[in-house]
Amino acid sequence: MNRLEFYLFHLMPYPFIPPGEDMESIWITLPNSHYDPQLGHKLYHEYLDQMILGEKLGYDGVLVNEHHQTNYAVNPAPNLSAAYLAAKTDRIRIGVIGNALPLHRNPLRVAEEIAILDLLSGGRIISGHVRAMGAEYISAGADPTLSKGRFWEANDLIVRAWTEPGPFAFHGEHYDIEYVNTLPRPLQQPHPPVWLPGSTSAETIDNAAQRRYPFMLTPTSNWLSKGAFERYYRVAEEEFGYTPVPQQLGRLVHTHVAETDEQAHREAMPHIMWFFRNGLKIPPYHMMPPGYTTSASMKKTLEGKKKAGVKGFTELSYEELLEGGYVIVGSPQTVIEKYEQMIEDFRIGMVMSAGGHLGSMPNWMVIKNMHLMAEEVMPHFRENGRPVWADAAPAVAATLSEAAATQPKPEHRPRVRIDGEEYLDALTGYIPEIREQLPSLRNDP
Amino acid sequence: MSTASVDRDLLPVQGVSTLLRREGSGRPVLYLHGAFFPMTWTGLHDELSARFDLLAPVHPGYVEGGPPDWLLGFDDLVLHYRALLDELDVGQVDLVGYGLGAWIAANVASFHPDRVRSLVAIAPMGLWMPDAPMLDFLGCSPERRIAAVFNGDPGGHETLFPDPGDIDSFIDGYGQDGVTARLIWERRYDTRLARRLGQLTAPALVLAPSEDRVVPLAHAARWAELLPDGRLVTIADTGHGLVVQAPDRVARAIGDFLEEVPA
Repeated sequence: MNRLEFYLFHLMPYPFIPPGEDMESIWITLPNSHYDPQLGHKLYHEYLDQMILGEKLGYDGVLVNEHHQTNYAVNPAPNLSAAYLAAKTDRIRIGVIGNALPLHRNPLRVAEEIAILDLLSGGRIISGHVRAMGAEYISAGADPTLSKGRFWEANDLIVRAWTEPGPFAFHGEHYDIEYVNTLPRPLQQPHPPVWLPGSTSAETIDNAAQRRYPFMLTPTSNWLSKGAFERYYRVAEEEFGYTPVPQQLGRLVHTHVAETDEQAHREAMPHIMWFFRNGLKIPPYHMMPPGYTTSASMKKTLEGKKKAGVKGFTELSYEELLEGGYVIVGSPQTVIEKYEQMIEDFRIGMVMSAGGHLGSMPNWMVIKNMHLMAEEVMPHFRENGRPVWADAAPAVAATLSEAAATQPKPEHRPRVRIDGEEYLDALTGYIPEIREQLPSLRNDP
Repeated sequence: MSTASVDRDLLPVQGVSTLLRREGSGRPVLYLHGAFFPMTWTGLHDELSARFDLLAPVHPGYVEGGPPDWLLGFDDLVLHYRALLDELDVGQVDLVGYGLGAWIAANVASFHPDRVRSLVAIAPMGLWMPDAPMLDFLGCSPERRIAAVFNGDPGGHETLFPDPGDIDSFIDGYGQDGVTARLIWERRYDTRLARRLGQLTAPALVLAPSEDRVVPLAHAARWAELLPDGRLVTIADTGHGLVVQAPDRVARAIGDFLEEVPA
């Protein structure tokens, strides 16, 4: 059996905007007056409920991410969504894929919030780290020419903050923090898994392979996906001397499943086209502000695309999206076959956006898509249909009794010295009988 | 992008290979280019080199495809140009800056007033004037940028800008914008500049177009007000692209001004 992990990925878009031809960009400049807060309330709840349902259906994880000033994805504070999901679910993995590190003046904020989420969720958090889209350097006023340097330095600072005893000093090129002493500490040890979501950028892939970070590829063609995943394996094997496991590699490919191929196309086509024509309407000068990538890298990309005749997302027809492998649409059997082919061609172990929301899709259709994915597709790739978390021991005791039986006593009991008297054990010392019986507690300096 | 084919020398300046064209004779004039036309030998260069010893360097990074690691702010350019003047052994110069170049020039003059005989600021930027915001020319479309530079009528000058349809031309422009971004992306103005202009005692000329859709005219007027020995001259029927739109009139205004400044 070819194993595959299934993740629901949600951009949480706001699709009630003019069509792509009528706007300069879905980022930055489209007036936010289009946004109706009443509708926003309804959408947030629909979207979050879809992800919560993912647990009952048996998804391995749910994923949210950070974007700013765009109707393409209205989730500027993904750690807040993750907190809501943590409260409303019990076992499913929750990924923030990710926080846009260079947009933070102090990246320790990310270390802190992820640690809080990890504790609240009982160790279910995946911490994705991203640079932020080019457009976000425009909307945030952050220098795109320093973005790469800030990203890697912030990543290293965050991982050190989770793993090294504090306080320690961090004196970087971009961040100068005299006392790194992050509280709380995350539950998962040594730290919550770090994922690197990215496009086909060689630098991201190479760094992910070097650090053994799982790499999640954003939507692109089969042809470019193959090159990206092959590169990860090659770099890992040839330069860093290990063979990755398929679970280190995931592909974000929106999948829509329905009763028949025809029915699946009927349902999905308008929403897929909304996503690619409108949701991805972004001019090059928003996508790639100056210095966001190097001139050499930009030149290579442009020449490669020109040579291969690669079209922009908004120019692709529905048929081209299907043939190119940007999306997968069909009956359960069709989807199973496409996933098998993907596992074979790319040697990957995770699929994201597997049967969930896309673009303008209504709630009922998303739920139908998810149900069919869970009932008809997932079992083909799993023993007994069980998600990864069902067979993993929970990271924390489920009950007070279990905690009392299994957890070591804390190093310190809370004690306080009152007005020059002996130390008082704050938990029990107020009971005179116990105080008398436990001189060691009183006399312990 | 049409880059006039010119002979340029690579001058080593403290380890930084600096592209420099030097033409003409007379008193040395250092011309600092702006964010636009950084590699172009414009009509203004021709006009100025006919009367002066014109030194026209290209700022570090604009040729190399992006900002060098060491370039983090205006002060790095100030030190670079002080070193360049040392290298050329030209003594005092008349300093001419266009747009972003005027901002750089004001910094050079602030930190090394002894090296600057006079200052000419053409369509200058850099002042903090929240009521007169500059066009976000790094974040807007190329078409909008060109339209703004020429007040909607490029008249053929649009070929001086990168051609988005030509990869090499586009990449040249992308790299040049990267250097500009390094300098001004997070701060498109310097709140300290007003005070510094007020301390520059050198004779100064501010040249403004008649309408500027990139940097509102209030900026040029304020520069002239702040500079203790400053005067404002407006070049009729021009926009922010005045150095290529009316090089002869811009050069004449500079020449007339310099005639009054003792060599």
